[in-house]
Amino acid sequence: MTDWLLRRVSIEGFRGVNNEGAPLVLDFKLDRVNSISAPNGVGKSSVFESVLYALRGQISKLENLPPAENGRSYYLNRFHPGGVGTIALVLAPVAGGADVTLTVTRNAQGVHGVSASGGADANEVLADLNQEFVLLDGKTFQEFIDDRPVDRGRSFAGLLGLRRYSATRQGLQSVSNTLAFNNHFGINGKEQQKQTQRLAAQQAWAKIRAAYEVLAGEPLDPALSRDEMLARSLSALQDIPILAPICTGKSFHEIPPDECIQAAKTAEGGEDRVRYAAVLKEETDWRDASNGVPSAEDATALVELAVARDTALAETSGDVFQKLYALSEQILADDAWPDKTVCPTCERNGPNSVLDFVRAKGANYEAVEAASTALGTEWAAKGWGQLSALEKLALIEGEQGKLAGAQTKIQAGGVDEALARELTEWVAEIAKRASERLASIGAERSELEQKLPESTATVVENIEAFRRLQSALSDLEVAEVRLAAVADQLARTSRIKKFLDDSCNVFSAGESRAATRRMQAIEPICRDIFQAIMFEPVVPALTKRPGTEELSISLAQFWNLQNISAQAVLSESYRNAFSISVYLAAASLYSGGAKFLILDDVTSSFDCGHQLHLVEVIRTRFARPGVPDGPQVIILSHDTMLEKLFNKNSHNPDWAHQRIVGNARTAVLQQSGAANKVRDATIAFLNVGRVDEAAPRIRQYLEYKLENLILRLKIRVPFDVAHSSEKQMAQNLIDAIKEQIALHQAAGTLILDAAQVAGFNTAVATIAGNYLSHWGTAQAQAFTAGSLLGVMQAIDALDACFSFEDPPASGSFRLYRSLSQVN
Amino acid sequence: MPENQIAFDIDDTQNLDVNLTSFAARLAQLDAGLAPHLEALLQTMSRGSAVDRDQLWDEMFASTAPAPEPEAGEGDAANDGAAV
Repeated sequence: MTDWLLRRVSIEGFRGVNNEGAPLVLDFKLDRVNSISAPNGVGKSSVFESVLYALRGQISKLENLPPAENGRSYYLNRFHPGGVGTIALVLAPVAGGADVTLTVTRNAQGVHGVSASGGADANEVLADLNQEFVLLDGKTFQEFIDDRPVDRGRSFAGLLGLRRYSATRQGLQSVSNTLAFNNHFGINGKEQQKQTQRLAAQQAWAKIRAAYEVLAGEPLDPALSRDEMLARSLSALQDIPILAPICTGKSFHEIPPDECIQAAKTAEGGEDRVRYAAVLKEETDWRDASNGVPSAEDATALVELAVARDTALAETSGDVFQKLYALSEQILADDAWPDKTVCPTCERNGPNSVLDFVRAKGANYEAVEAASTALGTEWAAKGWGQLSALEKLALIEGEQGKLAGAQTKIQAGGVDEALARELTEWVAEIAKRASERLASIGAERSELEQKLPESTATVVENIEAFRRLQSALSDLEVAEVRLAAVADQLARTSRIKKFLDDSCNVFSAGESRAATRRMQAIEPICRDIFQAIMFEPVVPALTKRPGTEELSISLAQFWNLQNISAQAVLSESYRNAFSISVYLAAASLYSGGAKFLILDDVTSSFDCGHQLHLVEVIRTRFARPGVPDGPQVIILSHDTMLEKLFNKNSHNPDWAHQRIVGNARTAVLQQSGAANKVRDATIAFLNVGRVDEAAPRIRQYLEYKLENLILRLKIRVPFDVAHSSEKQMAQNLIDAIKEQIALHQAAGTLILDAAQVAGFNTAVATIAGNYLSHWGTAQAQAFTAGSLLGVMQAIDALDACFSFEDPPASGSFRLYRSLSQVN
Repeated sequence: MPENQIAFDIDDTQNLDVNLTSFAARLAQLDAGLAPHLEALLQTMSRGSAVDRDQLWDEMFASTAPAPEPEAGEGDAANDGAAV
């Protein structure tokens, strides 16, 4: 990061600076405190706002205006015809090297352009310059005191030189955001899949145990390996004589069940045996399908979760509002939106934080998400989604199933209480049908078993058990593969999430420790500065709550009281001093990138004495050259008392002062040489026929020339000469000069010769006839470029009417000392 | 290394770049496989610019995929058959 000083600001067509064709150029001394004075309305704050726009790309004062005010249309100077505002900052590297000129433009469509000279990355340099303490005004200081602790803490991160660390932490928080992360990877759906496959495996094992017991004639020993279990099952199958030829030379999985059933059918028994096999299969199918039907308690739990989900949903306002809240939070959480009580949608403000409001609204949506997830997890865990086989068996002809659609709704989080009740009642219904059907099948099986020989029935049962065992093993295999796949995905996402969370926590802890450390370094300096400005037994204190962004302010001492609320007791001037002390202390330790500060009217709340103290603190304790590696300070002020101090200081080698004059319509210029700049611009406009642009500048130039003559010649004027109608002021000045000439003529003391008096009268006649008579009546259309060029010549001729050649024959002229004295 | 044993402190005598490099080293301690993906975004984050977190997550997820196993031979197939 390069540290920069500000060598020059150039502005045209932006805010209150028109200056068409002749930008306002303010040069600053790199090794001095720079001050600029300007009367109200001249454009001082436009200078501040121009640099603000250059660095931050927007001016919150305009952005936060109500929509009807169309604040964005006021970035550009309304009198400038070019439709583009241009701000150029010439920056000098502290370490030496070539200057860099940053040029920032904005056009009428609001398009923001940035470029830099010498191949520099303009955006990179601007990012380095955009520090919290670079541009300070009274509003910034007021907000620092009035802000909520969390907002103050966030802006304080910048003061501590931690703004980019804070931005990094916010970036880390964004990529570790749990809700967004889970949505991206479908974590909830995967957790449900995992539950489903786990349940499917459990159910397959239950079938395996039951079938094995029938086939092998013994309970399945949990310690038995899967290979051993298969071997014993195969052996049991081979022991059935009619199946031995089918089983020989085959593994358990290779034995075709249909061939076994066919062999049994053809061996003996006829139709009863075939029917018995069919009944056994149907009974097994019903039993398998009914296995794991959730209980009545499970149904109640599911409905209760649906009710909880509905309750959470009632606190929300739909998807569109969810997007609105999310976008609003994104805007409000950004430091570029400083006032968290202003709504980014309607730009109105209120007493409470809109950011807190939209976060609370967002939390309601997260509660719905959590409730829906709990419902889905319960659905999967209790096997509600595993009943499709039962439903298929239980459906009456023409009846539509409900569980497939419910599964889709569960995954979408769309199951409400009514649907949950409907589904639980439906499952109870199909379970009842299963129970009835199993009773019917059981009766038929008993009847057939009585008809068939016992051995025949056993063979059929074993074959059916074999078929079920083979099928269940296949189901188990599928469930295990799927379970492994989803578990792998969850393990990988869990690893990523843990890494992101840990990264964020490690970084946040480091940032928090740095903030605490730096704040502790700032506090004593802040107190010294405050004391040097206010000279009272009042001691400011800063407190950062550990683990949070909150920064609280208070008074460690308020005369003989301790631990007093700063907001409650401090007057405006003390609040201002508190804020200034914090900002200057922070900038003295942690300024980087920008090694300059621009202070705009920060002394308004101070009386003369405290203004002096503040200026002395800046000059001797803070700014360069008093502090050699301190920041370059530029002070803007309209205060006439402060201007006197600036003028006095400007005689010192550590201070540079300049004054700007002008207005928003025509031009804002440095007072030095300003009249010539106005004159040149006026003539340039007239030469291209732009009378409307020239006419107001003629007034500015004429008034300056007349005031200069009056001042230099010590001509007395009425005390209200500048307070009557502004359209009459030039005429009033001319009249005052005329009266003084007449007075001295009458007294015989006039120093002017007859030719000079005649010249004055001719010039005045030209000025009055071709300009003032029309200007006074606002009839601008009466002007022509040619006549106004004549007026400009007449104005320039005025000086010659009051001058003498000094020394004689030198060609150099000076104004008389007065109308009665040569020098 | 467990997260609670890994600490990152901002060095007040160093600039942002140096401190972010130091933090990147901590990231590698947390998870060497995932750290480069996040490290690549630290400068962007520090400027307050938005990062494409979907892309980051997808890249991280892809990087955690197990290495492809060698193609199954005959012996493997036989074992598969005996496994169930």
